[in-house]
Amino acid sequence: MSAVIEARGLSKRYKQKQALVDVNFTVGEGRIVGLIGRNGAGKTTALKAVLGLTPYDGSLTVLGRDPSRERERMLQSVSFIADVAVLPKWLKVRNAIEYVAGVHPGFQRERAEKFLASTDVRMDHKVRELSKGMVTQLHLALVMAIRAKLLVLDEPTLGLDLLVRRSFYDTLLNDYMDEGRTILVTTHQVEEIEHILTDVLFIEQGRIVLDSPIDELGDRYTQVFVKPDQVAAARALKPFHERSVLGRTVLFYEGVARESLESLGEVGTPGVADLFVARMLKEVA
Amino acid sequence: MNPQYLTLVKRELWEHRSLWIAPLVVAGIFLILSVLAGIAAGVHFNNVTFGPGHMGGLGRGEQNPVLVGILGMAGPLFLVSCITIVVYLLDCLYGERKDRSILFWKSLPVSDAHTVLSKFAVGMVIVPLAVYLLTLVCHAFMGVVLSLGVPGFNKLVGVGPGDWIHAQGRFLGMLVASLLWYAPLGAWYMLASVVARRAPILWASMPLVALGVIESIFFHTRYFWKFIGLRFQPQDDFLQAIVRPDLWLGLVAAAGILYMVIRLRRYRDDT
Repeated sequence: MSAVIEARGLSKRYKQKQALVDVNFTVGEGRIVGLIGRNGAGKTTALKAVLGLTPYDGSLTVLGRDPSRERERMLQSVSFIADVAVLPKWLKVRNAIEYVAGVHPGFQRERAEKFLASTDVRMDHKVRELSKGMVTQLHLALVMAIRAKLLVLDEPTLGLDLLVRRSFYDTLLNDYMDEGRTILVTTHQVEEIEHILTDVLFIEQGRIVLDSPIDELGDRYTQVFVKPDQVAAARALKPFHERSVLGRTVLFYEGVARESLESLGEVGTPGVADLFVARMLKEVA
Repeated sequence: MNPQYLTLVKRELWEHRSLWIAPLVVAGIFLILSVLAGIAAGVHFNNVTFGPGHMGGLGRGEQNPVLVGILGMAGPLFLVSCITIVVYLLDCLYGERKDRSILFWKSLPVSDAHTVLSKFAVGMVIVPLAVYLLTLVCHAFMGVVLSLGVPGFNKLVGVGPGDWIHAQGRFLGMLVASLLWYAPLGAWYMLASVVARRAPILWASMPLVALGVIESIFFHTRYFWKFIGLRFQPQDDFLQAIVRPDLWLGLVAAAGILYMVIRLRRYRDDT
């Protein structure tokens, strides 16, 4: 597995605040990595650095290239969808396709046209005439027709309704994702994408606070649904977070052997969203 | 030439349609007027056959009548185009930040230098040259219509092939010299466009106005105003223009400003 993105000591300072502090992470080929954090945690700054959109300190390699110095070359193999509002309103669908075909050597026009033919988007529509969902479909059509090795998504489904969000990710998984393709995605709606992720990166106040493959989360974190009479005993084992759901208490443990928890109640692996909330509360505490 | 350039130029014309619609509308008005003039002249001079004998009657002044005719056409066409081009240059790097579409443009493998230079080329080379061609088409059309309406029209005003060649050369020379002269202004408008958080026209004009006002308050002189006024004047003679040192200094300034514009678009991070 070779590294698609390699960040070492990545830092970024804006005038008022330090947006990234000595960030290290590696994204391997074929992974779908969720970069998860609260507003202002540094997600978008990290993506901008990866895309060469902002100067930074430290070392960063994307597909073997330095995004700050070889941005155009790198972008031949990297696609990027910011939130859906960024397609210009005046652009006609036909012209959008013509433009990308004209500037991107890896663009397969027929693929984009074929995908759009299955939607309500017509060639002579302007972006301003499309619904938000249709704009997303157009953007997706453009991006999926590019043979990119890395796809970077920054809150791609912000402001879209559930149906569109669901079909966005389904299309990505079914029509885009294959061997050798890598996705780095940020979103607020963790629950919606956690089933497609292979790795998670939690970021808080410019620092990576958790970096783990999804399937290793279970080795490290455990959640236990505990009955009321066992809560005291469960608390003695030092959970890092607990919450009550419908009269049952869920306790979260890090690095505690499952065998020692099984007597307390129903043991499982916490979901990414629960884990995120738990970690964030721990960071704040 | 980089094949991307054609696409980049087309993209500008898709977005800023007034760049080509406005001069076409003016040209259309010209064509209609020349048809009407041709008909009127045909009616008025219905029974008159012009010949060499009439030449002395109208005569020709010092000016080449072909040049006068072309410049008469060029005036309104270029005036309208100047306005649309300035509006275009002020908007071309501002609008994309305002609607955040810069994130889309920047997600594609196009360098900032190519983007900026293609926009400069559209405003300062491609559209002016297109309007130049349009002027010649309009002028030729008017000549044809008047000749049809008034047989012997060309003889009447006494023009020959030499006048045509001379007029074309002078006109093209004026255009090229003026474009070279205006290059730093064009670059300056783009700088305002890439810097402005809102109202790029204020960013383009306020620093100049401020400098002029400061000079007149503290030094009671008006050199800066004169300097700026001079920059807005078109050049009417190619050979005289290209030996001016300030024309070449202006080109150096334009190159420097464009370099800044490219750097700013590359590293500015405010979306």
